[in-house]
Amino acid sequence: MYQYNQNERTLLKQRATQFKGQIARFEDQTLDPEFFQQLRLRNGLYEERWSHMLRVAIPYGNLSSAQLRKLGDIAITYDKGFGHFTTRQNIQFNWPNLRDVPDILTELAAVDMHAIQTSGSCIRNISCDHFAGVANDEIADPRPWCEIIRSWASLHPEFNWLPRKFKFSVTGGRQDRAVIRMNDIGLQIVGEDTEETYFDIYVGGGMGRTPVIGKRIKQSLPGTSLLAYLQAMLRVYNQYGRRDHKYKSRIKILINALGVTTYKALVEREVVANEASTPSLDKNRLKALKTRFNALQTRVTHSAGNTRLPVNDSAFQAWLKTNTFDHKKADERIVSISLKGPHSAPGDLRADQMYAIAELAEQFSLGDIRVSHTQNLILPHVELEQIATVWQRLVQLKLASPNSGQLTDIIACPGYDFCSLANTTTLDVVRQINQRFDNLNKLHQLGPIRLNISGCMNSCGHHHVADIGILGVDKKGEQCYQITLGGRPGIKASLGKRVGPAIDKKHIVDAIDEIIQIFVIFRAPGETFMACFNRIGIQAFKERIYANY
Amino acid sequence: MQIIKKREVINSPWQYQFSGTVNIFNRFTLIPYQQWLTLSSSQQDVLAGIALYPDDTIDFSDHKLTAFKIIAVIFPTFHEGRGYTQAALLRHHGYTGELRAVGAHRDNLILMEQCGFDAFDLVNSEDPRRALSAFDELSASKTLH
Repeated sequence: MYQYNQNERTLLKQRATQFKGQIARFEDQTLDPEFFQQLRLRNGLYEERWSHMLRVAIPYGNLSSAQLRKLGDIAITYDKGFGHFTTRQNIQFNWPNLRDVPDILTELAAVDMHAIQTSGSCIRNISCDHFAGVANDEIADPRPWCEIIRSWASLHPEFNWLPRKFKFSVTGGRQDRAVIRMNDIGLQIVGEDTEETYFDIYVGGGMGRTPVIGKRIKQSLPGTSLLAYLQAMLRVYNQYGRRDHKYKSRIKILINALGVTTYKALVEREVVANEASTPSLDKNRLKALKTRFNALQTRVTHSAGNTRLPVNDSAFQAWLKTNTFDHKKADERIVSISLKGPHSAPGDLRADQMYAIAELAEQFSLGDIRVSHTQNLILPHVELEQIATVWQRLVQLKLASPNSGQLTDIIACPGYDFCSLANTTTLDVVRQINQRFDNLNKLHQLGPIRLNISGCMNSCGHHHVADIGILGVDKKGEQCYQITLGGRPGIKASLGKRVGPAIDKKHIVDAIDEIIQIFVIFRAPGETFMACFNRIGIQAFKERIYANY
Repeated sequence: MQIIKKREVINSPWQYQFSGTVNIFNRFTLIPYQQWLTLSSSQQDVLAGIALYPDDTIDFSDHKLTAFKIIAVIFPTFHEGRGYTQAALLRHHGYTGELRAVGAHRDNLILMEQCGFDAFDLVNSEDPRRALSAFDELSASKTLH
């Protein structure tokens, strides 16, 4: 776990005080309201449909038990007792009062947390593989590099007023669990030797109204040169990105306009021209970071107790199969805690559940918790002999849905119920899907299926990269839903294809049902939804959905 | 005009002439860089200050830039971001004269200073004296130099 030093801690407290002053000047009308809006966004504070919303940064999705407890405290003291984990691995509180926010920031600072640059036209939270450091298919732990990038990007004075928001994601191996190709810059570790770590760099990926898969601009760049290259990329974007049109200001638009080759040439010219002044990699710092990320709390030992795997318990077996993953150590497993149940909104967690998971992490996971971009929580270090105990505890907490990667592991933005940008609600559709597909056996037979729902074009629910994507649209004042099929995150990313005209709220879940039925009919034995769709194409789905609609 | 320079409020002798004919005999005149480029080299030598606009094309490695006594960088809005890169590149290429942000806002002063600005001509609605306290708000944050 990365720990801040004294200077960084001072900075967080100063930041809270600075924001308090800005709020005061906004309220006495000596600070321009439009300027204040931009300043508060850079402290993660939105004005939403019913209230303000505070987006707290969880750098590269890493949380300690102490931090998770503090989030629970904040949920109780300043909010309505819960928080929402997002697809960029941050947490959102939906009901803070503006005047309480500096106090919230001060409380967060006490556990090395903040809301810096979680919104606004600046570099946002660095996203990362939620299995970082423990995945058995990893080439190198990406987290030290995430921290190096975060430190460089955080309050970077040159890049506070970019043309538009800027998102990074980093993955540590061949498998990309961090959606890197849908970020403005995606980094993949492709090799490591005693001297260097090597990165492939993708640029210009993004969701939204014009989704684009990022293009590889650089192969096997040595980590020593990484910050210099990233700075050049940002600098070229800052200078040439469009500023005349809000929806044409992302770097993906610039890449499209210039072409990757020209953009790359500008970047590499910038690297050379400013070689003497570019940020260099501090190798000692990198070494210290690698040590820090490995120096977790000491393992808590437990009495022999109930350590035998309940092999005959089918519920346990189902959960073990779907919700636990291979760890690089043979006697440990990675555990996914599902925040997707029939009784709560995807990604939401109550304060009492936060405290319970914090405790669980301390007891069984070295005090380390991860937030995944799928809006679930991960316990990365569970010993095999404790896994049944962990499961039983999760069952008590009603956080043991064995649905990781399945149809009901739905990624959903908060939608119209919370967000002022949304066209439609999402949470009611999620509830209905959960009700329709409540038979666990049938669910498991379907195999892995990604179903994601976004309430508007901004695509915070990542519907573009889902097997079944649902997009909320406004059709002549009515809330309707457009379905896309065949999207996929990962290195071989693909964007979902629109299946037909938008469907009204009354019939959308029926349409999803039809899609699953077509899959079941045409599916080869053991075939995944993704493979089936790629094999049979969109037509059969289209005909079935619209035959009855 | 009153500006902030090196964290003090001072009177500045420089005058802006951003349009019209250049009065090249007044050595305290600042003209746009693009206009300066069109002058003959003897005319260029007389003027000691230029102003950069956000979409100017600039060769930052041009040594002539380092000879100026003052370079003013124009910020038409509080959210204009290109001037920060212009400042950083000027300093990185060895410019040591006065680097002035024109159209500055109190709440951007720390960022500007960290990019290399040492002089600030605030927008009309802001009082330079009251803005001075902004500089110490994030003393723990880093500078680019």
